[in-house]
Amino acid sequence: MPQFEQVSVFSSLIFWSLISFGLLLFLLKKYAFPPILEMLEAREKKIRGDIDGAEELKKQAEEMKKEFEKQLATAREKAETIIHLAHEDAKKQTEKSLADTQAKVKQMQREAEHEITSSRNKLLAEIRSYTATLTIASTEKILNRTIEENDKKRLVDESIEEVIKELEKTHASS
Amino acid sequence: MLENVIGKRYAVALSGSIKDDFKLQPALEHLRSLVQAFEVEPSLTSFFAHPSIPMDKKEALLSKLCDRFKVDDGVRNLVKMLNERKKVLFLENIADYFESVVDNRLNQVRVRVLSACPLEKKQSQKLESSLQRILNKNILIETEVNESLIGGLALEVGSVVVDATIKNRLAQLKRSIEQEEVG
Repeated sequence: MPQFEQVSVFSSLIFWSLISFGLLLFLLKKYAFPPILEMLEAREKKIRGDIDGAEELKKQAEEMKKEFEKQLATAREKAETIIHLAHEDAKKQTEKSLADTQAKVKQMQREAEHEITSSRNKLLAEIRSYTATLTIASTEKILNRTIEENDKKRLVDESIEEVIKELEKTHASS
Repeated sequence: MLENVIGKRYAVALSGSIKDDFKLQPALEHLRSLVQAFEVEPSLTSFFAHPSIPMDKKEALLSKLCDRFKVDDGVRNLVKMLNERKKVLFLENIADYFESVVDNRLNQVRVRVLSACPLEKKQSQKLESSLQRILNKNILIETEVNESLIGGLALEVGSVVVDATIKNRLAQLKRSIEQEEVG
């Protein structure tokens, strides 16, 4: 190949090229690569740290989510209990109100019955009193008209016996 | 209350001043006469209650009253003492207590008999003897006729009342009709 035929021409060039390449490589390795590598390492560390942070945050978020869910469940439970209690209260209130109303109605009924009975008794008492007064007045009139002197004498005799017996009884008991 | 205390005190004092039991009944009658005078003549009460009328005038009037009713010395002295102590207006209370004191001393009891018609002597005697036997005391019967009783009689012995009149029977009947339960 014609190119290789020129090696002798370019051998020094190749030599110096190799030397300069080696020197460049040495210089790069000595001065350029370490900060680049450090930077890359730092970058990697940062990215890893960020990933770890993100993982941590994710974990925290999941824990918070769990906590929230737990709290939500508790709150839901509480709300259900409150609703249940409210239902119970409302039911009790309704029952109490119904019982009160029934009691009031019964009381009113009793009062009405009492009033009716009182009025009836009062009326009956008045009728009895009127009847008694009328009966006694009529009896008195008839007796005054029909009692003779002999009857009066006999009544006094009977009364004497009666009062004496009564006084004997009273005297004996005292 | 006060009049009862005064009545009792002077009645006991008057009884103590009369030793002879036979003089008790007349003394009571004299006291009753004086009380009756005060009832018949209400101005006497005003006269003795008036503070500005002199005591000697009051005593003179009492003396006149005693002369008119021929009041014995015991009652006369009592009346004089009452005037001095301004207690003449308690005469009725004194008479009432004196009556019970006299009844006690004479072992007698007053029985008020209310009847629809006047009692016959026989009836009155029967009543008196029976009461004497039961109460073991002399009986003084005071009768009163009240035709509204219709028939029978009622007795009042002290605080005890025994009513066997037709009027009372009718009143009992009236009460029983009024109290009768209607089914």
